Amino acid sequence: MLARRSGLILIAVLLLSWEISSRSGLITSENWPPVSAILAGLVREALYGDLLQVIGATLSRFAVGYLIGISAGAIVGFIFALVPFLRRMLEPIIELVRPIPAPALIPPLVLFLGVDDLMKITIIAVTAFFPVAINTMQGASGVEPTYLAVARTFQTVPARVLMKIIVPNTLPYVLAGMRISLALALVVTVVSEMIAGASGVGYYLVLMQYAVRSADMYAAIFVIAALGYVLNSVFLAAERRLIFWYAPEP
Amino acid sequence: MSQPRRAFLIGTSAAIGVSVLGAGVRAQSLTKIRVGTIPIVDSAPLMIGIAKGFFRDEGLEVDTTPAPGGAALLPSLAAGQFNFAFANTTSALLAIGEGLEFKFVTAGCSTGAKGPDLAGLMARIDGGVNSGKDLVGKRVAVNNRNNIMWIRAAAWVDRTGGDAGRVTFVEIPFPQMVDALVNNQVDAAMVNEPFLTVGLQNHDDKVKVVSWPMSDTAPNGVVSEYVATKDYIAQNPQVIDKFARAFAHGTDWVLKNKGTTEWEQAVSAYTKIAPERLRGIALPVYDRVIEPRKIQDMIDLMHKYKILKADLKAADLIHPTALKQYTF
Repeated sequence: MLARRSGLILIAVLLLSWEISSRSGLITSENWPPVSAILAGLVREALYGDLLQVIGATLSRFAVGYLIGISAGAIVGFIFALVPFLRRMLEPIIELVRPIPAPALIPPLVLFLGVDDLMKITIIAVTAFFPVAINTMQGASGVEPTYLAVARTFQTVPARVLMKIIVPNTLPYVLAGMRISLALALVVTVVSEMIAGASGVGYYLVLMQYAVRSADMYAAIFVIAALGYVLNSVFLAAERRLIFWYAPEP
Repeated sequence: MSQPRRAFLIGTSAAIGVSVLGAGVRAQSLTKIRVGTIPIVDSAPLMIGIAKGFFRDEGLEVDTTPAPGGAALLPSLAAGQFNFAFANTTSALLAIGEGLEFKFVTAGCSTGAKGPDLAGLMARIDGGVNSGKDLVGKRVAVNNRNNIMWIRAAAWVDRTGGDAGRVTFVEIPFPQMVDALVNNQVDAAMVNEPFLTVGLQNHDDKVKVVSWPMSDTAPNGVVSEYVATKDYIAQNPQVIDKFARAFAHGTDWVLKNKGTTEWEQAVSAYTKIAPERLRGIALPVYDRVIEPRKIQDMIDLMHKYKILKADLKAADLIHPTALKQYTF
């Protein structure tokens, strides 16, 4: 509790020194507006501007791309674990593509998929795919052999082995992959919106910067930070319920 | 659609009044076009033309895709994602030189006869930079290499006793240029509006405008145009003509109204720049037609700076609509 409170205090101190450095003229720049102006802009744009629409566009794009990416990742990861031949064949490609930063894939994707949602959702899905696929594969192929041996001894039917042994043992890995993907996919959503198109937080960021409205730009950044925090918290809460038996150290 | 349902729909639409039906037919006959653009003051004829309904009047429904940085526009045009794109002359010619089959379909803007114009070369007051000679071995910020800003800055350096080949050009986005200058990260910067005016307001004790390289090196020189691919032009000659006509109507409105409150509102609507920030800033000259000679001047300049190898002829690159005087 104390640690949490001191974390909040640190944030407050940082924001306060931002405010002071801007108001006092210590840092004079159009790109360093006082925090109070940012918060005022946040409230104004949320109430009277189109900030809420902008956030909605980003969130829906993110949600679709993320769900496609993690579903595909879990399925592919599982198949690779169960069919070692496929895994050996495709692993080199996956390992080659995986380290490429997603934003670097945007130019070729623009060529083939355009600048609209199709391109953006694809890049978000690709980003979300890899951590889940790799984690799932490792989780599913790392099931304790003793469990499987016991199941064999008792002549357990394969469906039951899958549901009672493989899935529960893999789930913590899948969820860990999904949580890594969450932050990555959110970042890539915003980056993809900065390239082209007329909606979303990424577009809004660049537009506000070019409109000399940096307070409104930071307002959007604050929103992204808050979104990331909330999504992560929701995820952690869900994870605790889903895999209550798998308790890592507190 | 099933037969009974279609019959029902036809029946109902027939029953609805003539005016609604008329509107429906009109909406159907609109041709959809996609235009890649940058939300800046320079694209006012297009954006205001759309807002005022000039394109709709010509039977065009325009979907604009603004790319604030502008870098993705020409590749996307080549890939067929857009039908038209706004481009600075240098970048468009560079793309053509690289083999992309673009043609200029309408004029865009030019710089004035003399400064202040849409971009100034700024330096620190105490930095000792007053001519190109002072910039040898120094760092100069431009938003992109090999574009209009870069080539005009390079030409200015050479013209005022320096050597552009011995200047380090650094890419910095417009919104951050004045910060980089004030913090000694660069020695000069090619800053456009509204950042130039804002920078002078915030740091009038630290930075100054040394020159207006655009109009100083090429008075009334070209800055930007709209381009389309040769294929699209060949397949849709009427759409090109309608686009050029509607665009000319937008230019007409801009020329009559620029500087007024209504103009400020209209530009603010798509750039999101506060109207008061638009007051008093230097504006580009909005052209009705392209002057081929000016495009040729740019081709020659690009040859001189070795960013263009292909032997291009301006006359071959300009579609007739860009030379036509439309009247309203």
